[in-house]
Amino acid sequence: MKVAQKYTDAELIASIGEPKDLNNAILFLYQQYSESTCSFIIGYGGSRQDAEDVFQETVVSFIEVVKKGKYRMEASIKTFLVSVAKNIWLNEIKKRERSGAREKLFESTRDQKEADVSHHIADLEKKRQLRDLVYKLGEPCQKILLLFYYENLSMKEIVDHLPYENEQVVRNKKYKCLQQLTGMIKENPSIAVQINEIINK
Amino acid sequence: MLPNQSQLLIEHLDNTLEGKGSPEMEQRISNDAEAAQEWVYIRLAVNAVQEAGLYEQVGTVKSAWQAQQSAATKPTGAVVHTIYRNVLRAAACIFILSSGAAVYKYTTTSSDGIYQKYYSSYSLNTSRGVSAQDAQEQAYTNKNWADVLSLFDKSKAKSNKSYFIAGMADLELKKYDDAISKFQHIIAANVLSGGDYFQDEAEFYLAMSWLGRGDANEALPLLDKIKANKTHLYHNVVVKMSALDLGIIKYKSNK
Repeated sequence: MKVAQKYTDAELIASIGEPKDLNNAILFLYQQYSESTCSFIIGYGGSRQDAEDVFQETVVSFIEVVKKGKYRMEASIKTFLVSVAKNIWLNEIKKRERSGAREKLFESTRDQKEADVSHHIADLEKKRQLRDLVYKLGEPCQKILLLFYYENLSMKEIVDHLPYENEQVVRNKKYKCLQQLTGMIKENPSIAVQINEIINK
Repeated sequence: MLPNQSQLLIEHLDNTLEGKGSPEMEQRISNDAEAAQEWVYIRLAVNAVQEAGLYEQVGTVKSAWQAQQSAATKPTGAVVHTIYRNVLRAAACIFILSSGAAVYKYTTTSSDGIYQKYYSSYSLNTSRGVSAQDAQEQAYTNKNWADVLSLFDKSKAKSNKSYFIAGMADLELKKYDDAISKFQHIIAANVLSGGDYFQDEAEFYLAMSWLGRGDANEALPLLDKIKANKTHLYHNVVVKMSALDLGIIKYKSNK
């Protein structure tokens, strides 16, 4: 992995949109903002592991917001990230029913300048559930779906990566895997109920 | 719903992603409630895959970054002295000291020493929701190395990831031979499949296992390979390894 180059906020946003630059952009986010954000979470009762997990979720959310063209640059990236992290941690505290810590977090950060990010992260728990369904697929299915729908490889390129005879075999396999995943989603009412809401966000 | 409707919808989605969606299918989705519902499910499934892909990518960069951090912050033991003090005495002693230091360096540098200096535990890429983790991963996160290995042995469906996690548990227990066997399995499996799942991780920790075992001849080619590959996840970690240390263990191993 290359050492992350320096980015201005605008350059970072542009890099996130370029698949070849994305690793560098993520590394830059870690180098620049991980420590301060983690300190914030640790300061409000999180463990080091909590803080690292929250920051990872934060980076994922931030990239998704940028990719959807919904990051308006009304706040700096740092402000945005801290706000997202705070909301994620708040939800986590809520889940753990640590109301004391939650109140402390609300009180102490009430007057701070922060971006309104609640609408960006409202569906994080649902997204996590969705992700878990993907992890429940077997490794061959995970791999083929990730290569096609995330890495955007063609069928021909996937044949070069995976031990399948030809493009038609890959196509059939991908179809079955996607069907399997769709079936799992249908069987999960808690996700299905809010399906339209997530997709159309 | 027609028997092949979901297949048609999936094809339509794939074409749409390439900017080649068909108006006929759009119309069918608009007019047929069942097709519309299936369309939403398929899109959600793809959304889930993309979400998982991004999460994995961020997690991979995070792990590599943590390894870099760990390598960068380990104390080197070096002591900085002011150059204004004892200049003359230092000049007089320099030959003796440098000779002594060279001998000391040579005698104290070992594969195991390099392993101790540069080894950092692997942080499993996990979400806070434990539901994303299987039992083996949970045991790993909880540092229950024996449980990790027991679950691995009992598991019938072993993936590169489960091999890697078990290999890391072996490494934590300093069972280098077992770790080596598991990391080699991953690399061999990737050669057979043409894949690269956990390839970079397996290569780096295989090299570390060889170092831990005191077998520099096996470790050095792997470290050279990682060093030569700037896109390797552990490139920066290996680049930070002392060239002098590596040179000494190479020389010793060739004696």
